[in-house]
Amino acid sequence: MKNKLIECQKLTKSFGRKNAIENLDLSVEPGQTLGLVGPNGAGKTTLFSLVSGYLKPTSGEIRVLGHNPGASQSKGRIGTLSQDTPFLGGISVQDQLTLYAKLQGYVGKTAKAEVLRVLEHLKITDLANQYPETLSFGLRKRVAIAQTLIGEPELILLDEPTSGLDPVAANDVRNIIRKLASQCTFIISSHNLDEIGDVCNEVIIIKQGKLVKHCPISELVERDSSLNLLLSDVLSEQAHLDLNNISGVDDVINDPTNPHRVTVLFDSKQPDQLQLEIMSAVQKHKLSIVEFSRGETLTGKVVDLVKG
Amino acid sequence: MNIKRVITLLGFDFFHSLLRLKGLAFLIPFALFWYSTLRLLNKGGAEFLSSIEGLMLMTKLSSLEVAQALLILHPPTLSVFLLTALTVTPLFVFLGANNQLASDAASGSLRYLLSRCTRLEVFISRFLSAYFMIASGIFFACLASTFISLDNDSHELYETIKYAMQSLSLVLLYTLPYVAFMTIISALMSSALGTILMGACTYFMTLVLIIYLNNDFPFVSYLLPSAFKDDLIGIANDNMAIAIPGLLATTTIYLSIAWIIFRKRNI
Repeated sequence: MKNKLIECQKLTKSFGRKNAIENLDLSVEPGQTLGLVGPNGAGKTTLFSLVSGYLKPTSGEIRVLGHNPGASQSKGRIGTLSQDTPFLGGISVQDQLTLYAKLQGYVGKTAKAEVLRVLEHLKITDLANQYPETLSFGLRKRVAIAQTLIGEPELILLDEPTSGLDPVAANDVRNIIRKLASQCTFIISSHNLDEIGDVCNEVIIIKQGKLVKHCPISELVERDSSLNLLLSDVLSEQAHLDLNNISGVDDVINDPTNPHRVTVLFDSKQPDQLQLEIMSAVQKHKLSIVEFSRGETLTGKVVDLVKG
Repeated sequence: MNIKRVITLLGFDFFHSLLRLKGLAFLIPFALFWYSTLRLLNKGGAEFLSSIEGLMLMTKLSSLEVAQALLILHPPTLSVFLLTALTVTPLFVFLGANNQLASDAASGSLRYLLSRCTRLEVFISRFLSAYFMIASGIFFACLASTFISLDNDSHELYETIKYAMQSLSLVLLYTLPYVAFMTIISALMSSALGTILMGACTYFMTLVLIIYLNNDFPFVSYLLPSAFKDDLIGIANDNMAIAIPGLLATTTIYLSIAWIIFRKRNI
């Protein structure tokens, strides 16, 4: 288990009779930015909680940074953002974050400086003297993200980091992740697969507590041999057939989550020419293209894997 | 276990408890209770107890020897402090030690701490913080009793201070297992109020059980620390030889049970 950031073997966590995580084998190497995805109830938050040591496994083994998640040696080396951002009530943001910094080994003024540093990262220095319970959900989430950065941990677990944030704040968070990705490993749990596709280079897909896929995103989605179309109406059977008959088109896939969306897979040495042919075939059927992008989407792939 | 982290957590929790409902729910009733009790003592309550009538009254509660030892041989004001403090300890511990872990574990507030310190460090620091808060209240009540005793009782300064320290140590020792008892309940429950109610119910049900079974199985009285109360009031060396290790052992057993519960708790 050496040199692995996280290593799970036959990991199972049950709540009553229900297995939230079942016989999960997982290994995470350092230096990656991973997306943890899966449908509701897949076990993502449970897996995060097991890695963080909030929950004890029912059976199996889990090692984080080479130790048991509850071990003293791994404390302060993992930053965790929980979904519901629970802070202590009646204690200011600055006081709570300073406590966390002190627990990670900072003393006196250096602890306060570290708190200021992470608050500046999130552009929320003005919140330092406020009480968490007086803040909106979005601001509390930014404070919670700030606390994960204290002490520059080796592993940062972010559960739904941008949900509830305004677009500007969400973009700031994504930029921070990109900026710090070379210094530490991020594992991001999110239902926003565009975001996962944007900031992560690996993806872990789980369903009903079991591992469906763990691979680089580039291995999962082809960036250059597909077209994603959002149409003004549902693609008719005839239009579907016509698209399939274009030379070089391998398959036309309807998006199960949105009937107006289709993905056309192709294999051609002249993709730009083929792209024009596909678009004119669509227009022949009096459909207009509302949105258009090249390359498979992670959403489509994840939906396929989870449904399959 | 990292002692530095325990001290950091302890200092933070102790300081912030004093300013939050967690601590005020104990400190306000405690201060009001001791203010009215010590006011009575200052008005000659202890002097009355050391008179013949007072001694007669005390012998109804304990033996004449104990009553004499408490009210004549020792400063009566401090003896009243000792007796009162030992009697009200369970009540004030219910108020002061109820929220060691319960609501923070249930709300998830402990999560950010657990990324930075172990469960054992949180457990120990929360126990000590609750204990130190109650202990500091007891210390100030004892200090005030000592001043009243020096003013009203006819004992020497050295003797009064020695007895005050002895009484304080005994009350602090007696408080330990009660705080540990509340640690068990707090490790199980999800709210401060729930912990108080469950703690009180468990305590009184155990008391009833002890009263019911005591004749056939005398050892059941040791389920609660109150079994050692009479030994502490006696203030005789041979009694102390039973009471001190007994109370420490009870504390250790209670804390072990609480730790077994807390270490497996989902947070």
